[in-house]
Amino acid sequence: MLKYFISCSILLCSLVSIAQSKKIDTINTIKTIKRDSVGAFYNPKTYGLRIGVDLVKPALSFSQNDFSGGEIVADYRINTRLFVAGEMGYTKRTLQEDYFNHTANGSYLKLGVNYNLYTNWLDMDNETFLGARYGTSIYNDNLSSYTIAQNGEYFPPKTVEGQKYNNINTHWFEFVAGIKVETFKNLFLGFMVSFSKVISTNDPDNYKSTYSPGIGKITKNGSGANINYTISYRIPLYKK
Amino acid sequence: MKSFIFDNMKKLLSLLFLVTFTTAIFSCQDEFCLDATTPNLIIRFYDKDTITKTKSIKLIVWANSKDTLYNGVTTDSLSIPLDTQNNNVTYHFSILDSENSQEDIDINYTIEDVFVSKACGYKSIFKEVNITTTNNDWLSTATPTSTFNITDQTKAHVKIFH
Repeated sequence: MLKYFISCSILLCSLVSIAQSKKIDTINTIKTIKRDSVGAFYNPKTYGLRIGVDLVKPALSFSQNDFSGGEIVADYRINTRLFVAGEMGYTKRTLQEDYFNHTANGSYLKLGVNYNLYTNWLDMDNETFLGARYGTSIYNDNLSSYTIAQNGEYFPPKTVEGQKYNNINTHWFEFVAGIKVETFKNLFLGFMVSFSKVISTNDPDNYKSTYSPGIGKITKNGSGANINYTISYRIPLYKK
Repeated sequence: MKSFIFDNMKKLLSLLFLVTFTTAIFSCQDEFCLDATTPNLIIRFYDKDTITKTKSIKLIVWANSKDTLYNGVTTDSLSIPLDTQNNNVTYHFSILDSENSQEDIDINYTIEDVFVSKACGYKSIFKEVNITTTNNDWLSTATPTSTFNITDQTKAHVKIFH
């Protein structure tokens, strides 16, 4: 009788322990599913510094005499959808307006965030992002010559040699949109458009800056637009 | 990468459309020079007996030894350009179909260049303007007799009484 009792209880105990371990397994699976914030599949994203170059500026430098410039882009992932991003570069451009010619030469820095709207499945890591930037630039503007604007040609208008205006600072805000696609492992191709609005600029006396590195041509109400194509490489740090 | 494009075709196309459309709008920076540029000297003709009343005159107008600017215009106000490459200009007025009716106005000034906008560039304004008139035939007097500035064309700068 006692033997029967002991065997039964041992059997019961083992059944209970089996049930317990099954419960733990189920709990672990639920935890795994909940941990991923973007979908039912656990897809860890690589965290690391991504650095690249713009391809538009060097191409324009090569094909156009009046332009030279370059740009480095970088971004760093904060969480699955949010990145800290920035661009840095230099531009030298000679412009011929209707009544004056000038050359702007300087560098710029833009810092901001990108927010990824695209839901990546499995371990894809592409982006369709919207973002914002704060930009600053410092540059010289050499007004080479200007012709006086006047009514009529009864007296021929005078043409004067201008002067060089140094250390002009422009601050602006930018709204960006673009895509980044992982073509090979950790190698990305990107395309981005940006729309800028000047916040402030320390124009010198009797002159107004009409071109800033980082914005390009500035319109009468202080806005500008840009595009860039980038190729970048991510230095992977960890996956989460 | 192919699956990325196919899965998001709609999103990518609308993004591309938005991007191209807005970039096109921003690239179309057609700014024309619509602001006021270098001002002309405005002369108003008044009756020398009733000095508040304007009086028209039919004039041939030319400067220095150039061709005529106005050839027989009947008016009580004239807009004449000044030479931005020199500091003085002499305008000659003579009444149409009237021999020996030439009167001269000598205008001296200094020039300052002022930036207007990207589309217009710079304009000249005239400071320390001084006029002297001859008194041979019909021209009686002219004001102002002290120096003045010409910065815009909104009202007459010189009054000539005849």
